[in-house]
Amino acid sequence: MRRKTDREAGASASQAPGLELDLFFRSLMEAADAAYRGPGELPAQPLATGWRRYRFLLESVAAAAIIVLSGAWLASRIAEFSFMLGEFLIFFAT
Amino acid sequence: MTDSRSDPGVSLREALLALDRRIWRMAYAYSRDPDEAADLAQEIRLRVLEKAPSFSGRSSAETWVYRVAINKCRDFARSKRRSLERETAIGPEVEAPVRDEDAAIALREALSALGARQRQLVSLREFAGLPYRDIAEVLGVSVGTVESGLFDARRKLLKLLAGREAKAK
Repeated sequence: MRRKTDREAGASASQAPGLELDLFFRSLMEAADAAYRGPGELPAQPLATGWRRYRFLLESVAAAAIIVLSGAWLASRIAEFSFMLGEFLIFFAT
Repeated sequence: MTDSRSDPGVSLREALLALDRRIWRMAYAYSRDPDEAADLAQEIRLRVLEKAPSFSGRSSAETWVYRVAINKCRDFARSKRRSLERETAIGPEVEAPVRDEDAAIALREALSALGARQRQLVSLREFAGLPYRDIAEVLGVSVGTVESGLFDARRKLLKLLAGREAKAK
């Protein structure tokens, strides 16, 4: 079956006695155009929203956590090594 | 619609500026006064810019902008309807009723009586001026669905406006 073109579909849809739908659309469009104020100033950069808004904070917290944990791990390794070294020295000294 | 995939951010911005008047018309048709339309149009612009990082360039920038705009309009209509229901539940409307004789106002009121999808179809067709194929792309439906949906929407609008005219006489 042949598909209706835009114009055919539009024409058949707006055929109603005593009422022109297109006139209503035109009047609304004219009212809209009369009130149009233009796009105004748009932000230069894409806006950060959702979790992106907190990205800097999240990254800072993650970096701080990595530094603290790796520092603690390194400190525990050093402490353990010092303890073993101390024990080793005491063993040989006595 | 043109397919600009070189720089998604730039093409979106260009599309947004190029389509601004059409978006304004859609916002105007969804709202009740120019101030409300201005707020809605600005929300659409900001939404497009907010969502710009998620634009992959699979569809054209114009299609994507229209999709964001029509979804925003739908959300606006939904929240508007909810707030109106709440207002009428609390008490009588504070605002004076709008004048009936204005065709633009009559159509705007008739549009608000349409279903969400029918309203989207009419807005994209009549106020954004998109051909059926592009409307189908924006809404993710077939061209046949767009045709039949628009046909039903127009018939319903005619019925609503005719009923209104009969009541006025």
